[in-house]
Amino acid sequence: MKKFFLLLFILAIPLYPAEKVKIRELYENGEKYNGKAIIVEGEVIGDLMGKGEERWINIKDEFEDFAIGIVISKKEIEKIENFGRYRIKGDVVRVLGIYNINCPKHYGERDIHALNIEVIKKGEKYTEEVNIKKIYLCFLLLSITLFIAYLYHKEGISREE
Amino acid sequence: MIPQFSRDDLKGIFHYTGKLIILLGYLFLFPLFVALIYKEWNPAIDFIFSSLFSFSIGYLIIWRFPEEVDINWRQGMTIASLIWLIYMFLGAIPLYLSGHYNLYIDACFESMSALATTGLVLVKNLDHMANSYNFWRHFMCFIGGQGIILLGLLIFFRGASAFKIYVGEAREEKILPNVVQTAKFIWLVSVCYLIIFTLILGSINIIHGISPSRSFFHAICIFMAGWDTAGFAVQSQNIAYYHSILIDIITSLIVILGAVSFGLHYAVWTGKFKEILRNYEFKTFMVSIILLTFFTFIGFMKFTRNVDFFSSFRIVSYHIISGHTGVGYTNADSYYLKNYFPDFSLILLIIAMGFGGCSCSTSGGIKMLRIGLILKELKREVKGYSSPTSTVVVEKFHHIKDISLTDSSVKLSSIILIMYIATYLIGGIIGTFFGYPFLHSLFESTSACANVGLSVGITNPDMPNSLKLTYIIEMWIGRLEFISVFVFIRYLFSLRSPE
Repeated sequence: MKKFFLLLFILAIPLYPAEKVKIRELYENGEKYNGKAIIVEGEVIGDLMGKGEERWINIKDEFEDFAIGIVISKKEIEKIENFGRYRIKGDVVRVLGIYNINCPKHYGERDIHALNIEVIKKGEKYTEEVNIKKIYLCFLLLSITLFIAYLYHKEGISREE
Repeated sequence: MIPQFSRDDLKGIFHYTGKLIILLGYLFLFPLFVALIYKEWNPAIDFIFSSLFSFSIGYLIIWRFPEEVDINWRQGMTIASLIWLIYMFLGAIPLYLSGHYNLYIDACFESMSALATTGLVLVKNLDHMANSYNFWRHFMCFIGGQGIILLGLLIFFRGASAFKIYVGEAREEKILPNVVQTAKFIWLVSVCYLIIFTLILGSINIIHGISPSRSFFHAICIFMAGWDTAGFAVQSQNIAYYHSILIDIITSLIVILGAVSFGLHYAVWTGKFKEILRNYEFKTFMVSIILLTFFTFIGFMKFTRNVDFFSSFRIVSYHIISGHTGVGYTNADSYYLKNYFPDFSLILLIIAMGFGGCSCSTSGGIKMLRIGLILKELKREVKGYSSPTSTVVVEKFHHIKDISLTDSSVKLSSIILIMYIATYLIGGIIGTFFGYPFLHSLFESTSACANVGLSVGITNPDMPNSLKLTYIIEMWIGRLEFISVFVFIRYLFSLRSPE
C-alpha cells in the first residue's frame, strides 16, 4: 500500500508545475521552493557517494560557483559517466526533484531528492597544453638563483678565511 | 628613553627574513611533489617558478646581509610580522598563476587566509582546481597554523634569539624549557595526529564510496585545515559536500583538539590525564561551548520554523564548535547563516568566534585563558570589596601548574581583549561603509580578525578591494595578536624619521 502511494506521488509530479530554477536562486530565495518540485541544471562534480539504493552526487551551476547535493537512486547513477574535476568536464544534467532547505530525512541537509535525471550534455576529459614560456622563465630564474647562491657561498668562504 | 630602531637592526632582521624566504622555497617542493604524482604539468611549472623565485630573493637578501647576529625583542617581533606579509605575497604566486583568482589581491587574500588559519575564500571554480594547487592551499594552513617561525626554529634559530622570535608569533608559553624542544614537540604531536586522522577520515570516505586515492587526498587536506583551525576544504561546498554526520563528528573532534593548548596536549602525552579535568582554561572553553550551543540552539528553535530538533542541533552545534575553535568549517553554507540564523543566534555565534580557542593552540581570537583571567579578576575584585579593608585577596587557578593571578597578567589580557574587540568593531564599521548591514559586517569582521572563516556571504570575489585589504590586515594582526605588528609599525616609522 505504501509503495502504491509513493508510485502515485511520483506519477503525479509531472502534473505538478515544476519550476525551472538556477541553483543560486535555491540559496538566495530557498523558502519559495522549499518542499516543492523544481527543475535544476548543473554539472556533476566531485564524487559519487553513498551505498545501497540511495546515492549522493553534487551538481554545480555551469557558470557560477553554486553547488548542491542531489539524492538519487542507484538506477539513475548509470546515466552519469563523467564527474567534473581538474581536467574533466562533468556531465551536465537536468534534475527534476523535490527541494529541501532542511531535509528531515537527511538530518537537515540542503538537498534535492531527484525524481528524474537526464543528461543534457556529455562531459569529457580535456588536456592542458604545457606553457613553454613559463619553462624558459624557470630556466632564467634558475640561472639567476644559482649565480646569487654562488656569490653568497663564495663570500662566506672568504669571510671564514 | 626607549631606544630608536637603528640601521644596525636591519642586519639581523634581513638576515633571518632571507633565511625564512629560502625555507619557503623548500616548502614549495611539497606541492610540486603532489603535482608530479598527479601528472599536473602546468601546476608543477608554477611551483618550480615560485620556489626558484623565493630562493633567488632569499639568497639575494642573505648575500647582502650575511652576518648571523643575535637578535633582540624588537628585531624578533619585526621579523615575525614582516615574514607573514612576505609569505602572503610569495605564497599567492602559484595561486594566482592557477587562474582561479580574478586579481592578485584575491590570491593574496586567500594566501593570508590560509597562513593565518582563517578560512575565508575568494577562489573561483574550486571544484575544478588541480590537486597540487588545492594541496598548497591546505598546506599553507598547516604551515601558518603551526607557525612559520616555529618551523624556522627547528632549522635556523638558536640560543637567546630563538625565544625572542618565538614570542613574536603570538606564543608565550614554553611547554618545555627550551623553545626548540617546544617546537619539536608541537610538530611531533601534529604529525602523529596527521597520520591518525588521515587514516580515519580516508577510511570513512572510502566507506562513503569515494575512490581510495581521492579519499586520502581529501582526508589529508581536511585534517591540515581542521587541525590548524583554518577551515579550508577541497570542494566549494566545504564539509556539506560529504553529506555525512560521521564526517561532521570527526571534524568536530579534530578542531577541538586543534583548539586545545599544546601545553595540555603535552600533559596528556606524558600521562597526566587528570590535567584535562583540572585545567582552568580547558574547563572554561568547554563550559563556554556548551552554554553558547545551548542558547544559540534555543534562539534558532524559537525563530526558525520547519526545522526538526535533531537537524537544528546538528547545524547549530557544528557552527558553534566551528566558530569557537576558529576553524570555520560549515555543514550548511553562508546563505543559510544569513537567511535562517536569527539575529539572536548570529550574535551568540559572533561571541563564540570572538572568544576563540585556547592559548598556545592553532586557533585565533581573544583566547579562553584571557577570558578566564578576566573572570577571575572580577571575582577577586568582588571578594576584595566584600572583605575587611586589610584583607589581601589571592586568586589562583590551575593551568598546567598552579598560578596566582597577578596584576600584570590581568593588564596584558585586558589590553589584548580591548584590542580584539576594537578591531572587530572597526572592521564591522568599515563593512557598513560599503553598504552591508552592521550585524553582517560585524560577523565577517570578527570572523576575519579572530581567524575563523565562517561567512554570511560578504566575502566573495566581487566584494570591494578596500574591504579585501581590510580583512587581510585584520587576519594578519589577529593572528599575531597585535603587539608584534605594532612593534613592526613603530619600526617602519622610526626608519622614516630617525632621531
